[in-house]
Amino acid sequence: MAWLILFSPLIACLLITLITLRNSKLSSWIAVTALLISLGISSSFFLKALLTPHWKPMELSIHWITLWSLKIEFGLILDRLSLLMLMVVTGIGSAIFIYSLGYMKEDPGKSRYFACLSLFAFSMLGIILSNNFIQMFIFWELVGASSYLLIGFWYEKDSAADAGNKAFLVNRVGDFGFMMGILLCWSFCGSGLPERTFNFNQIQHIFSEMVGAGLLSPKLLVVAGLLIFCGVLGKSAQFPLHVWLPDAMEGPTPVSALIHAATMVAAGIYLLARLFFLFDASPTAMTVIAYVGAFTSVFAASIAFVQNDIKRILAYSTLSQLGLMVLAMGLGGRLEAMYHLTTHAFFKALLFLGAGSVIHALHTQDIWDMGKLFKKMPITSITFLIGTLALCGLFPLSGFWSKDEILLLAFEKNIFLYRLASVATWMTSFYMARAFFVAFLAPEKKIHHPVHESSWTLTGPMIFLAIGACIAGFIHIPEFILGHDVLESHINLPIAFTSQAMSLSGIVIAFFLYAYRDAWGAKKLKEIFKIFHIILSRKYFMDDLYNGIVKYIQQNIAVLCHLTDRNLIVRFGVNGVAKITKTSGEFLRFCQTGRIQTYALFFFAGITVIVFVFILK
Amino acid sequence: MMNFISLLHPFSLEIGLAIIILGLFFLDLFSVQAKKNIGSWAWGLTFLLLLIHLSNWKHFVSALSSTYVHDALSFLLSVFFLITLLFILAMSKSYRHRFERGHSEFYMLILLASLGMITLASTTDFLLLFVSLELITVSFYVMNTYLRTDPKSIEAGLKYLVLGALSSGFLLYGISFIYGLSGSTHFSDIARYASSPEANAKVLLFGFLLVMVGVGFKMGSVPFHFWIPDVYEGAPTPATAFLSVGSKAAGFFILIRLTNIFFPHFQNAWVLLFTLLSAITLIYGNLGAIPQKNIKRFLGYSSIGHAGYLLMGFAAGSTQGLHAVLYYLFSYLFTNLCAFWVVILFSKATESDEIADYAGLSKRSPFLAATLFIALMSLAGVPPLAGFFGKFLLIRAVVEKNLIWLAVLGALNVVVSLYYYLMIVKKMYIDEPQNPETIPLDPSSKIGLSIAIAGIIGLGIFQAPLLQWIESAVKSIL
Repeated sequence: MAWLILFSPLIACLLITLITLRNSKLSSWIAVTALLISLGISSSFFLKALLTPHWKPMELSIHWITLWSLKIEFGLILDRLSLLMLMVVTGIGSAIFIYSLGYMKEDPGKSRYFACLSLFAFSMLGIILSNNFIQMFIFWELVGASSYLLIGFWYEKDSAADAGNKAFLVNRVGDFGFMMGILLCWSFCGSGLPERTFNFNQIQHIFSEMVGAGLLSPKLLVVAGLLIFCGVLGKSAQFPLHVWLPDAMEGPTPVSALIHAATMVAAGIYLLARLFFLFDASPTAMTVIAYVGAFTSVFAASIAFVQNDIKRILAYSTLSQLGLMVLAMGLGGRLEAMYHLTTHAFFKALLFLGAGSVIHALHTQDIWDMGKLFKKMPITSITFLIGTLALCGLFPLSGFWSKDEILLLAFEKNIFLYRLASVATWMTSFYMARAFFVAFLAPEKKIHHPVHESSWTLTGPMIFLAIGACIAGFIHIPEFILGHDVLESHINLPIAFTSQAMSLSGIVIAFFLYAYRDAWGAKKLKEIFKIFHIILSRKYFMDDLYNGIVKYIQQNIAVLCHLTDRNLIVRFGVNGVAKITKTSGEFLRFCQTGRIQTYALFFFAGITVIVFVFILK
Repeated sequence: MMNFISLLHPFSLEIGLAIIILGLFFLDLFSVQAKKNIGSWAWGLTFLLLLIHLSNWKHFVSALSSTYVHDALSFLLSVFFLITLLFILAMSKSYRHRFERGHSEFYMLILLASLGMITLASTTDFLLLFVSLELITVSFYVMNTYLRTDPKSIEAGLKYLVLGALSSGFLLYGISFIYGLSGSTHFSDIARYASSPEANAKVLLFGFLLVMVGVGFKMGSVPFHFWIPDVYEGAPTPATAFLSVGSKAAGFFILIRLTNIFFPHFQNAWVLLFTLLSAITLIYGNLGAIPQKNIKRFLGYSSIGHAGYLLMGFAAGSTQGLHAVLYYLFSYLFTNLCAFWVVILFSKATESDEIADYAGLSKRSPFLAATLFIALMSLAGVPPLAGFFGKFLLIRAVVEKNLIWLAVLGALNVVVSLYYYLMIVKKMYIDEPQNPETIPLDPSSKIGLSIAIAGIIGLGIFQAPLLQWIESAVKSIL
């Protein structure tokens, strides 16, 4: 049964690509059904784990590649951590799949879309269920590839195709480090043992023994940890590899919701949680991770201030929230990070779906072109509002509980990081409130066609996610992962009040600046903070920096390589060898005379030579 | 009575196959209706036989004072031959249009040759080995000349007959030497003699080398390979496919059985012999394939190249080498038969085997083009296809024995082979078709090709089950 969780989306993908590609309606239903099957099986496992006090984690595996001492398995790990992620991915994924039914209704590439989406679901589930490094790396890459396909789904648009490339390339940079990290781990896991292993549980076991015996040098641990963290930088879009995520908004909006809010970017966090023992052993690596997370959190939030594209605002807020999760990981808060990951998946997916619903109705992504949507699209507006408030972390919505845990952790561990995180919280509520007020409450703009509430396939998943965003916080995830009672929760009152005050102040300021107003407030602000505005709207020149590196450094090296390759390697090396090979091939034809006498002659000659060499020499 | 049945028990598979052959013979004689569908009958019955055989597994016995054994290895090999047989029978149905009359006998010849192969898989005696080898060869003499009005087919049959007879002569000559020395044709007796102090090593080696001539002829190793291009081109394509997989594998299987007897006693000569043969065969096959214009001839040269790779496993002379050889043969089974089936289907529609006519195949039949593409890539050894893993195991086995230069030669030949395989891919995908008509495909060939492709990809990705099976089989003869 457990295998079906993983393979049912793959089967759907194969069915669609091989058989039902022409029938888009059937294709989309195949994809939805397949994911619902995964959801059903995952839920049964999840409930069992939730309700049974002494539920034991499972590991199923088969031998996959056996090369003497190198043994690679293909396995599934089903513990509380992976079950939680399974629920997030299949649950929110199913909502988004159903939403896509409506959103992509008219798209000519609907079958292809659902095939890619199923492939993505398969790869994502693969990451979650992997019980060893190699398998995880394969699925990790598959996620990269399928997200490439989805981001560049409207490949006839240049910007979409470029965004797909960018996402893929930036991810590859991170994955290279990840691969090096895997190899490093593999190399030191075997020292002193007959067989090396890639299996997570075994590595953890070996690892704790080796650390206990003092066999591992701290430097090696830092390097291994940070190399693996490179993979996280790429997938979870942390600074300085964050640049792909905002551009990835070129994909269809449900894709943004699925990949760039709820699942793919969470893969990095999940990896940190899965390999937490590795990072935990190295305080230096942990500190680096924490600071990277905190920095990304504030950095991305500040860029979100000046964005006008509703999806980009959400993208930067995703970056910022992921930064918070990484910060929590870096401070040793594996459970807190997973908690925030879960709640964030709900409300961020909800926000994206709401944005998608608006975009679907208005055909624009610019918040300044929207306005007065409350009356026309009540369900979208209310659910979007719930999402916004949850993201701002207002009591008692889900965002409050998880964010509060992270803030509390930071407060106890590192007061500087706590302050950064609090600032990020304030910034988050400001720009989210700004987006909401401008898009939903500002005066009506000229829209040339009537605007209606979206159909049930769009609103249904939104309502479902809105309920999730309200109540997900009450299921206390850390206690679930530990196997304790999930309903018990604790609030640190001073911390909670501070964070509430920060969030509310952000919302109130935004209200006065933007609600029920024209672009007046914005213009004024732009004039006052001109320099900041330029810096922020150019995203701290990060893209320009990377383009510059590519243009002036990489390009020149590439030209040099190209010239060497053309003139030296191809002309003399490859073509020369090819010519020799071809000529000798032609020569051999002369032996093949077609006359049986010649053949018999060679036959005898061969025997004579062999006998001479071996017997008579 | 019970005694009699228990006597027959070890031969249940062989008797089953013989009954199928005789049954089909009678069916062919007496029923006009069945005559038309004799290929389907043959296929169905063989499939049934395979199922029964698979269910019978682990009943390992020996008979005829252990000159005939059913061990894990012979079980593995008989499954190999039965799968090959099923493919060849199915392919022959697509080739039926070329036979003016008497197509039913063609199926029986195929079955007869397989009977020879299956007995060969179990034999541990030179006499029985010779008989089963001759059963194979004689069936092929007839099969190769089956296109009676085509001079090329006649020529192919004649060449195969003359050179085959020559090699059989040498084989028998070698066997007689070995018998003369050891006083027995039984493998274990010979092994006992070879390890005894009074053994005459030089003469024994001489006998072994002559046996190798016969085996080398079957394997298609240089310098006993000259028949291959001509015969492959002229023979009916199913017969060619059968030669390239079944008959070639038979040669290697004999060698696997012989490894135990001879390898421990003249290790140096053994390693040197197979290293040299492997190197020459690799180079000859791969270079020879480059200028070919006819696809069957082309695949002939490529099969010589593959023999070179397989010999690397024996050059290593280790258990790992034998594992690699067996794995390679299984991957080769699916891959090569897949390629030949495409050739048959293509020639059925276009009546041509010229590589030039494959231009633009992807536009005429995307399915055939994709299938041939995958098969060629697997032949070249591109991951994650079966051929890659086979080559990987072989090269690894050779590297472990410190024959680095042979491993490098093998790797370099992969590059050469990629060149000529990709030439065909380029023809199919980039060049424009001269005749843009689509090529019709019947569903049964589509299913068959899909199974072959599933085998190619499956063996490439999930190596463990087959590898474990092979390991246990090889363990049974050590």
